[in-house]
Amino acid sequence: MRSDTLLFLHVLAGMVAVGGLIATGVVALERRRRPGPESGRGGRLAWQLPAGTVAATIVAIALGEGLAGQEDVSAAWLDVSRGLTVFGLVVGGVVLALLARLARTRPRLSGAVAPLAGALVLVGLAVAFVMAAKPA
Amino acid sequence: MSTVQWLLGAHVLGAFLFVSGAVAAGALQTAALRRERPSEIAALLSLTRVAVAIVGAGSLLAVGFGAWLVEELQLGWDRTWISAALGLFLASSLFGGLGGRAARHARHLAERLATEGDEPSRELSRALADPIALLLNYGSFLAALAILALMIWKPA
Repeated sequence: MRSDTLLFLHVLAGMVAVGGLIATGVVALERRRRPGPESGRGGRLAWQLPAGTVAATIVAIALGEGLAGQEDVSAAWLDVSRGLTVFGLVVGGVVLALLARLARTRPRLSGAVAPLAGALVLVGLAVAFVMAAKPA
Repeated sequence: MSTVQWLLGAHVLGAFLFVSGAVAAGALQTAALRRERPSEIAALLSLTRVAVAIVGAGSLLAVGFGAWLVEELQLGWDRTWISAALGLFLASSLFGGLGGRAARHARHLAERLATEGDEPSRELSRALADPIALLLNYGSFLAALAILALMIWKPA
C-alpha cells in the first residue's frame, strides 16, 4: 500500500479511536449524573464504545508501524507516540472497557469511567500533536 | 520546536477534535436510532450536543491554525487543495447544521413523548430515521473525510 494511503487510514483510525473515547466519556458522564437501573442496550453501549476504541487504536498502530517501516523512520517523537499509544490508549482502553462493563453490576465503579475516558482523550490528542509537530 | 511545528500540531489537534467529535456524534445518534423508548432516545440525542460542541471547537482550531500555517509557509490561498478544502469545510458545516436541525426536532419530540407515558412512537422513529437528515449527516462526514484526503495527498 502507498505511504499516503497508509497515512490517511492511520490518521482516520486515530480519529475514530478518539471519537469513541469522547462518546464513552459523555455517556459515562450522563450515567453518573443520572444513575438508573442498568437496562440491556444502555448498559452494553457504555462498554462497547471503549472496546471499539481499543480495536480502532490497534488498527492505527498497525497502519502506523507499516508506514514507519515503509519510510524507514526512527525518531524520538515516534518512540514517545508509541509509548503513549500502547501504554496509554491500548492498556488504558482495555481497563476502561473492563471498568465500564463491571460498572453495570457495581455502580460504585461508574464514577471512575468518565474521568478515565477524559484522560484517554487527552492522551489521544497528545499523540496526535506529537505525531504532527514531530519535535526533536 | 519551530513556529511551523507548533502551528501544525495545533492544526492537526483541531482536525482531530473536528472529525472525532463528528464520529462521537454519529455513534450516539446511531445508538439513538436503535432505541424505542423516547426517554432513552432523548438522553442519547441530548448527549450529541456535547459532541457537536467539540466539532465546533475543533473546526475553529483547525481553520484558524490552518490559515496561520498558509500565511507562515506562504503557500498561497489559490492552491487547489487549500481552496477545495475550504469549500468542503463550508459544505461539511452546512450539511451538518441542516442535518442537526432534524435531530433537534427529534430530540424535542422524544422529550415530549417521554413525559407523556414514554411509549414507543412511530412518529419519533420516522423523525429519527428521516432519510434527508441522514443523507445530510453522511454528506457532512464524507466532506470531512475528503478534507483529510486533500490534506494528505495535496493534489496540485
